[in-house]
Amino acid sequence: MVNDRGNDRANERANDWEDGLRRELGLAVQDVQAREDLLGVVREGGRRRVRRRRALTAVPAAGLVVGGAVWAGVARTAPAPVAPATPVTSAPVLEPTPSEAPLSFEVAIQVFYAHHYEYDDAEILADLWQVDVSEAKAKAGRLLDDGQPLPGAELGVSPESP
Amino acid sequence: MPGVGGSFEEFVSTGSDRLLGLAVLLTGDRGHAEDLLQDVLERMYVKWRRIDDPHAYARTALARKVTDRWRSRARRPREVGLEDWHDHAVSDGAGQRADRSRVVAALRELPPRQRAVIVLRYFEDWSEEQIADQLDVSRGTVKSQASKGLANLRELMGVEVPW
Repeated sequence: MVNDRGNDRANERANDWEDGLRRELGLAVQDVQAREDLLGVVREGGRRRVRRRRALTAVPAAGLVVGGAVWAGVARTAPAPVAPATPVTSAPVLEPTPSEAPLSFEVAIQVFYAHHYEYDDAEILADLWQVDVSEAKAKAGRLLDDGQPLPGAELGVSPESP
Repeated sequence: MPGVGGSFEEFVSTGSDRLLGLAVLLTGDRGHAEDLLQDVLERMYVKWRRIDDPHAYARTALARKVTDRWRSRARRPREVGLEDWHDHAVSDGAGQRADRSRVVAALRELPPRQRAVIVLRYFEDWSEEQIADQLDVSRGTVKSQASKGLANLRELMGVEVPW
Protein backbone atom coordinates (compact mmCIF):
# COMPACT_ATOMS: atom_id res chain seq x y z
CA MET A 1 0.00 0.00 0.00
CA VAL A 2 2.78 2.36 0.98
CA ASN A 3 4.71 1.21 -2.06
CA ASP A 4 1.70 1.88 -4.31
CA ARG A 5 1.42 5.45 -3.02
CA GLY A 6 5.15 5.92 -3.56
CA ASN A 7 4.89 4.63 -7.12
CA ASP A 8 1.92 6.89 -7.81
CA ARG A 9 3.86 9.94 -6.65
CA ALA A 10 6.87 8.93 -8.73
CA ASN A 11 4.66 8.50 -11.79
CA GLU A 12 3.04 11.88 -11.21
CA ARG A 13 6.44 13.55 -10.99
CA ALA A 14 7.57 11.77 -14.16
CA ASN A 15 4.42 12.90 -15.98
CA ASP A 16 4.90 16.45 -14.74
CA TRP A 17 8.43 16.41 -16.03
CA GLU A 18 7.31 15.09 -19.42
CA ASP A 19 4.66 17.81 -19.65
CA GLY A 20 7.35 20.35 -18.80
CA LEU A 21 9.54 18.90 -21.53
CA ARG A 22 6.71 19.34 -24.05
CA ARG A 23 6.35 22.98 -23.07
CA GLU A 24 10.08 23.62 -23.14
CA LEU A 25 10.47 22.06 -26.59
CA GLY A 26 7.69 24.26 -27.93
CA LEU A 27 9.09 27.40 -26.32
CA ALA A 28 12.61 26.72 -27.58
CA VAL A 29 11.56 27.02 -31.22
CA GLN A 30 8.35 29.04 -31.10
CA ASP A 31 9.97 32.12 -32.64
CA VAL A 32 12.16 30.36 -35.18
CA GLN A 33 11.49 31.66 -38.67
CA ALA A 34 12.61 30.28 -41.98
CA ARG A 35 14.48 32.71 -44.20
CA GLU A 36 12.27 34.87 -46.35
CA ASP A 37 13.64 33.67 -49.68
CA LEU A 38 13.31 29.98 -48.77
CA LEU A 39 10.58 29.41 -51.35
CA GLY A 40 12.74 30.77 -54.17
CA VAL A 41 15.77 28.80 -53.05
CA VAL A 42 13.76 25.60 -52.80
CA ARG A 43 12.08 26.08 -56.17
CA GLU A 44 15.44 26.65 -57.81
CA GLY A 45 16.89 23.55 -56.10
CA GLY A 46 13.84 21.51 -57.03
CA ARG A 47 14.10 22.46 -60.68
CA ARG A 48 17.78 21.55 -60.63
CA ARG A 49 16.88 18.13 -59.26
CA VAL A 50 14.27 17.61 -61.98
CA ARG A 51 16.82 18.44 -64.66
CA ARG A 52 19.40 16.14 -63.08
CA ARG A 53 16.98 13.25 -62.84
CA ARG A 54 15.93 13.71 -66.45
CA ALA A 55 19.56 13.73 -67.52
CA LEU A 56 20.27 10.60 -65.51
CA THR A 57 17.35 8.68 -66.96
CA ALA A 58 18.54 9.56 -70.46
CA VAL A 59 21.96 7.96 -69.94
CA PRO A 60 22.39 4.41 -71.29
CA ALA A 61 22.48 1.68 -68.68
CA ALA A 62 26.02 0.64 -69.63
CA GLY A 63 27.63 3.10 -67.29
CA LEU A 64 27.02 6.34 -65.53
CA VAL A 65 29.25 8.87 -63.88
CA VAL A 66 27.82 9.74 -60.50
CA GLY A 67 29.75 11.76 -57.96
CA GLY A 68 33.00 11.30 -59.85
CA ALA A 69 32.85 7.52 -60.00
CA VAL A 70 31.55 5.26 -62.73
CA TRP A 71 28.38 3.60 -61.62
CA ALA A 72 27.33 0.51 -63.48
CA GLY A 73 24.67 -1.03 -61.33
CA VAL A 74 26.63 -2.52 -58.46
CA ALA A 75 27.60 -1.03 -55.15
CA ARG A 76 30.99 0.61 -55.27
CA THR A 77 31.62 -0.55 -51.77
CA ALA A 78 30.67 -4.13 -52.41
CA PRO A 79 33.67 -6.43 -52.23
CA ALA A 80 34.99 -7.41 -55.62
CA PRO A 81 35.11 -11.11 -56.45
CA VAL A 82 38.53 -12.50 -55.67
CA ALA A 83 39.94 -15.56 -57.38
CA PRO A 84 41.46 -18.02 -54.92
CA ALA A 85 45.25 -18.28 -55.04
CA THR A 86 45.01 -22.06 -55.21
CA PRO A 87 42.13 -24.13 -56.48
CA VAL A 88 39.84 -25.39 -53.76
CA THR A 89 39.13 -29.01 -54.30
CA SER A 90 38.00 -30.59 -51.08
CA ALA A 91 36.13 -28.21 -48.78
CA PRO A 92 32.43 -27.93 -49.48
CA VAL A 93 31.36 -24.42 -50.34
CA LEU A 94 28.25 -23.10 -48.65
CA GLU A 95 26.42 -20.77 -50.97
CA PRO A 96 23.01 -19.22 -50.67
CA THR A 97 20.36 -21.13 -52.50
CA PRO A 98 16.93 -19.97 -53.60
CA SER A 99 15.35 -22.28 -51.06
CA GLU A 100 16.92 -20.43 -48.13
CA ALA A 101 14.63 -18.24 -46.11
CA PRO A 102 14.80 -14.60 -47.17
CA LEU A 103 16.29 -12.05 -44.83
CA SER A 104 13.93 -10.62 -42.29
CA PHE A 105 12.55 -7.17 -43.00
CA GLU A 106 14.78 -5.38 -40.49
CA VAL A 107 17.94 -7.28 -41.41
CA ALA A 108 17.32 -6.60 -45.12
CA ILE A 109 17.05 -2.89 -44.34
CA GLN A 110 20.34 -3.04 -42.44
CA VAL A 111 21.95 -4.69 -45.47
CA PHE A 112 20.64 -1.84 -47.63
CA TYR A 113 22.32 0.73 -45.36
CA ALA A 114 25.46 -1.36 -45.00
CA HIS A 115 25.98 -0.89 -48.75
CA HIS A 116 25.95 2.88 -48.16
CA TYR A 117 22.62 3.52 -49.83
CA GLU A 118 20.40 6.10 -48.22
CA TYR A 119 16.78 7.11 -47.94
CA ASP A 120 16.87 9.06 -51.20
CA ASP A 121 17.92 5.94 -53.09
CA ALA A 122 15.07 3.99 -51.52
CA GLU A 123 12.62 6.68 -52.64
CA ILE A 124 13.69 6.29 -56.26
CA LEU A 125 13.47 2.49 -56.04
CA ALA A 126 10.06 2.77 -54.40
CA ASP A 127 8.85 4.78 -57.37
CA LEU A 128 10.27 2.21 -59.75
CA TRP A 129 8.88 -0.84 -57.96
CA GLN A 130 5.62 0.83 -56.93
CA VAL A 131 6.04 -0.06 -53.28
CA ASP A 132 6.48 2.10 -50.21
CA VAL A 133 9.93 3.26 -49.22
CA SER A 134 10.38 0.74 -46.42
CA GLU A 135 9.49 -2.12 -48.74
CA ALA A 136 11.93 -0.78 -51.30
CA LYS A 137 14.75 -0.74 -48.73
CA ALA A 138 14.01 -4.32 -47.73
CA LYS A 139 13.69 -5.53 -51.30
CA ALA A 140 16.93 -3.79 -52.25
CA GLY A 141 18.68 -5.22 -49.19
CA ARG A 142 17.63 -8.75 -50.16
CA LEU A 143 18.84 -8.23 -53.72
CA LEU A 144 22.17 -6.90 -52.50
CA ASP A 145 22.51 -9.78 -50.06
CA ASP A 146 21.90 -12.10 -52.95
CA GLY A 147 24.70 -10.44 -54.90
CA GLN A 148 22.36 -8.89 -57.43
CA PRO A 149 22.74 -5.33 -58.67
CA LEU A 150 20.13 -2.68 -58.09
CA PRO A 151 18.64 -0.95 -61.12
CA GLY A 152 20.85 2.02 -60.46
CA ALA A 153 22.23 2.92 -63.85
CA GLU A 154 18.83 3.71 -65.27
CA LEU A 155 17.70 5.73 -62.32
CA GLY A 156 20.77 7.31 -60.87
CA VAL A 157 20.59 5.22 -57.74
CA SER A 158 24.04 4.90 -56.31
CA PRO A 159 25.56 4.32 -52.94
CA GLU A 160 27.19 7.26 -51.25
CA SER A 161 30.93 7.60 -51.56
CA PRO A 162 32.62 6.14 -48.53
CA MET B 1 -4.54 15.63 -54.90
CA PRO B 2 -1.39 17.37 -53.80
CA GLY B 3 -1.64 18.92 -50.40
CA VAL B 4 -5.39 18.34 -50.53
CA GLY B 5 -5.83 21.27 -52.88
CA GLY B 6 -3.02 23.45 -51.57
CA SER B 7 -0.13 24.71 -53.64
CA PHE B 8 3.52 24.09 -52.93
CA GLU B 9 4.01 27.83 -52.50
CA GLU B 10 1.26 28.01 -49.90
CA PHE B 11 2.65 25.01 -48.06
CA VAL B 12 6.14 26.51 -47.83
CA SER B 13 4.85 29.95 -46.91
CA THR B 14 2.61 28.76 -44.12
CA GLY B 15 4.44 25.68 -42.86
CA SER B 16 8.16 26.28 -43.10
CA ASP B 17 8.58 28.07 -39.75
CA ARG B 18 7.11 25.17 -37.83
CA LEU B 19 9.08 22.65 -39.93
CA LEU B 20 12.27 24.56 -39.29
CA GLY B 21 11.54 24.44 -35.57
CA LEU B 22 11.18 20.68 -35.81
CA ALA B 23 14.41 20.45 -37.80
CA VAL B 24 16.25 22.54 -35.18
CA LEU B 25 15.14 20.13 -32.47
CA LEU B 26 15.99 17.09 -34.58
CA THR B 27 19.48 18.31 -35.44
CA GLY B 28 20.25 20.52 -32.44
CA ASP B 29 21.73 23.10 -34.78
CA ARG B 30 20.17 25.93 -36.79
CA GLY B 31 22.54 25.62 -39.75
CA HIS B 32 22.06 21.89 -40.15
CA ALA B 33 18.34 22.34 -39.67
CA GLU B 34 18.16 24.79 -42.58
CA ASP B 35 20.10 22.40 -44.80
CA LEU B 36 17.85 19.55 -43.84
CA LEU B 37 14.64 21.49 -44.44
CA GLN B 38 15.84 22.82 -47.78
CA ASP B 39 16.74 19.31 -48.89
CA VAL B 40 13.36 17.90 -47.91
CA LEU B 41 11.42 20.75 -49.51
CA GLU B 42 13.36 20.43 -52.77
CA ARG B 43 12.43 16.76 -52.92
CA MET B 44 8.83 17.60 -52.20
CA TYR B 45 8.86 20.15 -55.01
CA VAL B 46 9.92 17.42 -57.43
CA LYS B 47 7.11 15.05 -56.44
CA TRP B 48 4.50 17.51 -55.18
CA ARG B 49 1.65 16.10 -57.27
CA ARG B 50 2.12 12.66 -55.73
CA ILE B 51 2.16 13.76 -52.10
CA ASP B 52 -1.18 13.33 -50.37
CA ASP B 53 -0.39 14.86 -47.00
CA PRO B 54 2.51 17.31 -47.25
CA HIS B 55 2.63 18.06 -43.53
CA ALA B 56 2.99 14.42 -42.55
CA TYR B 57 5.34 13.76 -45.45
CA ALA B 58 7.66 16.59 -44.48
CA ARG B 59 7.83 15.56 -40.83
CA THR B 60 8.53 11.95 -41.70
CA ALA B 61 11.17 12.93 -44.24
CA LEU B 62 12.94 15.22 -41.76
CA ALA B 63 12.99 12.54 -39.08
CA ARG B 64 14.14 9.85 -41.48
CA LYS B 65 16.90 12.03 -42.81
CA VAL B 66 18.25 12.46 -39.29
CA THR B 67 18.04 8.77 -38.43
CA ASP B 68 19.41 7.72 -41.82
CA ARG B 69 22.40 9.94 -41.16
CA TRP B 70 22.79 8.13 -37.90
CA ARG B 71 22.65 4.78 -39.65
CA SER B 72 25.25 5.83 -42.18
CA ARG B 73 27.48 7.48 -39.63
CA ALA B 74 27.39 4.36 -37.52
CA ARG B 75 29.48 2.77 -40.24
CA ARG B 76 31.68 5.62 -41.34
CA PRO B 77 32.29 9.21 -40.35
CA ARG B 78 30.46 11.78 -42.39
CA GLU B 79 30.44 15.51 -42.16
CA VAL B 80 27.20 17.32 -42.84
CA GLY B 81 28.05 20.10 -45.26
CA LEU B 82 26.53 23.54 -45.07
CA GLU B 83 25.10 25.08 -48.20
CA ASP B 84 26.75 28.20 -49.52
CA TRP B 85 23.73 30.33 -48.79
CA HIS B 86 24.32 30.00 -45.07
CA ASP B 87 27.25 32.34 -45.50
CA HIS B 88 24.88 35.16 -46.23
CA ALA B 89 21.81 33.98 -44.35
CA VAL B 90 20.34 36.63 -42.14
CA SER B 91 20.07 35.63 -38.50
CA ASP B 92 16.60 36.10 -37.06
CA GLY B 93 17.79 36.04 -33.45
CA ALA B 94 15.25 33.36 -32.62
CA GLY B 95 17.46 30.75 -34.25
CA GLN B 96 20.33 31.74 -32.02
CA ARG B 97 18.06 31.68 -29.01
CA ALA B 98 16.95 28.17 -29.97
CA ASP B 99 20.56 27.07 -30.29
CA ARG B 100 21.25 28.40 -26.81
CA SER B 101 18.12 27.00 -25.22
CA ARG B 102 18.71 24.60 -22.37
CA VAL B 103 16.61 21.82 -23.90
CA VAL B 104 18.15 22.17 -27.37
CA ALA B 105 21.63 22.09 -25.86
CA ALA B 106 20.72 18.91 -24.00
CA LEU B 107 19.13 17.34 -27.09
CA ARG B 108 22.30 18.03 -29.02
CA GLU B 109 24.15 15.69 -26.67
CA LEU B 110 21.85 12.75 -27.38
CA PRO B 111 22.54 10.19 -30.10
CA PRO B 112 20.46 11.15 -33.18
CA ARG B 113 18.02 8.29 -32.89
CA GLN B 114 17.25 9.00 -29.23
CA ARG B 115 16.89 12.66 -30.11
CA ALA B 116 14.52 11.89 -32.98
CA VAL B 117 12.33 9.66 -30.83
CA ILE B 118 12.13 12.24 -28.04
CA VAL B 119 11.31 15.10 -30.41
CA LEU B 120 8.67 13.17 -32.33
CA ARG B 121 7.11 11.91 -29.11
CA TYR B 122 7.10 15.15 -27.11
CA PHE B 123 7.13 17.91 -29.73
CA GLU B 124 5.01 16.34 -32.46
CA ASP B 125 2.99 14.16 -30.08
CA TRP B 126 3.38 11.10 -32.28
CA SER B 127 2.45 7.74 -30.81
CA GLU B 128 5.05 5.03 -30.32
CA GLU B 129 3.47 3.03 -33.15
CA GLN B 130 3.64 5.98 -35.49
CA ILE B 131 7.30 6.60 -34.70
CA ALA B 132 8.13 2.93 -35.17
CA ASP B 133 6.36 2.86 -38.55
CA GLN B 134 7.94 6.02 -39.82
CA LEU B 135 11.48 5.28 -38.67
CA ASP B 136 11.52 1.63 -39.76
CA VAL B 137 12.22 0.33 -36.28
CA SER B 138 10.32 -1.89 -33.89
CA ARG B 139 8.03 -0.51 -31.22
CA GLY B 140 10.36 -1.99 -28.61
CA THR B 141 13.22 0.05 -30.05
CA VAL B 142 11.12 3.20 -29.81
CA LYS B 143 10.27 2.43 -26.17
CA SER B 144 13.87 1.78 -25.20
CA GLN B 145 15.20 4.81 -27.09
CA ALA B 146 12.57 7.03 -25.48
CA SER B 147 13.38 5.70 -22.04
CA LYS B 148 17.13 6.15 -22.48
CA GLY B 149 16.64 9.53 -24.11
CA LEU B 150 14.50 10.82 -21.24
CA ALA B 151 16.97 9.55 -18.65
CA ASN B 152 19.86 11.20 -20.48
CA LEU B 153 17.93 14.45 -20.87
CA ARG B 154 17.13 14.56 -17.17
CA GLU B 155 20.76 14.08 -16.33
CA LEU B 156 21.96 16.64 -18.87
CA MET B 157 19.42 19.18 -17.68
CA GLY B 158 20.19 18.54 -14.04
CA VAL B 159 16.71 17.32 -13.22
CA GLU B 160 16.33 15.06 -10.21
CA VAL B 161 15.27 11.57 -11.20
CA PRO B 162 11.79 11.06 -9.69
CA TRP B 163 12.39 7.49 -8.55
